[in-house]
Amino acid sequence: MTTYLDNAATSFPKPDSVLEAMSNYFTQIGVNAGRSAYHQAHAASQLVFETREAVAQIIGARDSSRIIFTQNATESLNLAILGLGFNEGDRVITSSIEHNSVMRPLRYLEKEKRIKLEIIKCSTDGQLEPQKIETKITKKTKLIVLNHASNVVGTILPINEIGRIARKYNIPFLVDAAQTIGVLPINVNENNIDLLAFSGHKGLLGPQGIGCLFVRENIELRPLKFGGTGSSSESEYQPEFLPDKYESGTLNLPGIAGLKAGINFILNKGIVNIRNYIQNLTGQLIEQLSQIENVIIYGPKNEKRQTGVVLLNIKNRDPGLVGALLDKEYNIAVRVGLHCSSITHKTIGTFPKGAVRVSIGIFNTTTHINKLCKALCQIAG
Amino acid sequence: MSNSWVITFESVYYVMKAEKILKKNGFNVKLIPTPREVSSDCGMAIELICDKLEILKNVFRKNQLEPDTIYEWQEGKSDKKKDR
Repeated sequence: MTTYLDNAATSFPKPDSVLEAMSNYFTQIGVNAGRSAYHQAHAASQLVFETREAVAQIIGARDSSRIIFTQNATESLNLAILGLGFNEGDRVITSSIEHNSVMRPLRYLEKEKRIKLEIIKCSTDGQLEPQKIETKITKKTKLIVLNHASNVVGTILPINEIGRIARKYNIPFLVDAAQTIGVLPINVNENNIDLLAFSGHKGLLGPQGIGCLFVRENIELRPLKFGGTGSSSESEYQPEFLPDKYESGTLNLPGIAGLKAGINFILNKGIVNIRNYIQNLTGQLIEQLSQIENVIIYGPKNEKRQTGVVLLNIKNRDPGLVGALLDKEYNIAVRVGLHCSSITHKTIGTFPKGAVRVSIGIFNTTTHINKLCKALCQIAG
Repeated sequence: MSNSWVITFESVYYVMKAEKILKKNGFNVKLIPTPREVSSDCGMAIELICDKLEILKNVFRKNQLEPDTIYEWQEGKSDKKKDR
């Protein structure tokens, strides 16, 4: 059986309850939500509502109508960034360890709308000083957008401190929680987050194709999509109320069913317990890797300051080749290359060569860590 | 005699939320397609039995729910009691 260590891309395997919930949707419900009142349609609408409530619970949002279902974290980030409606000369602050799902919409706006990007340089292990953000704030600053943790090196950013700064200057704060939702505690109120984007298929253990965006009460976005919502059907104009304003077209209902089961699985385990478990395995991995000659580890090298993501290279070895060997000879799955974030690799000094990313999930064990380290030891030797 | 009411909301999200809250408050709630006599934005409405409109309004107020409209309901004949 494959040793799967690519959980930062998507979590695998999924809990049985997730598969059962999706199968149950197809066999017991199977119809559209929010359009009709017959028995099955009612059940579909209930499913969507209950999932929204579960999502709100996991991020500490008081009003679940502010949870928008999207296709993935990328769509959530696009809805937030493109929806804010910037004018020429507006400024956006971000970091030098963002994913392309943040960088590309920002670069698009820089070119098309002539906004000014303020990219705060992180240290070579991905750390960011909150004060650096404060010094860059001007009257023109219209958004601060950061990931909660890097998808490349796993470094956790101090979003709590930065959220306080954003609130102090009344600047909308968008957090990309793709890497942390379900594996690190996050609370939109305590952390002063105005927009929170994440997918359902990573830490939340749901299927691919479902994501969420939390939108705080005072934030107005232009929708990405316009169309049927099942509400205000007498009008040819998009409704102004949430969630309908941002959710045109039929939702991914089997995905929503799976997401709900994934969240329930996590709530039963407890996010703090999940964090402790992954942190412990990450510590074991860093400890063992640091004893292998010729292995270079990037990032904080401290399990308390990073997620279950550990980035590495073997001296004088191409990361692509290392990945291929791990797959072919050892049946171990990791991700190599640039991980959709060339800016992070530039920050940590691994551009353009890239690196090998190991990412731990809740179904990994010490046995998996030992197996990987043994394989890397042989490849490096 | 108890009165029958039909309550509409601007979207299904609020119908689902109201259903949950009303059930918690002991009401026997039925989901119905919004009757044609009742002009509404949303295709789904709540039907329930309740002696006094005031009791219903109290539940909605306490839970910060804002119905679009509350109608006293008889099949074939609707009596608009409240219109927001």
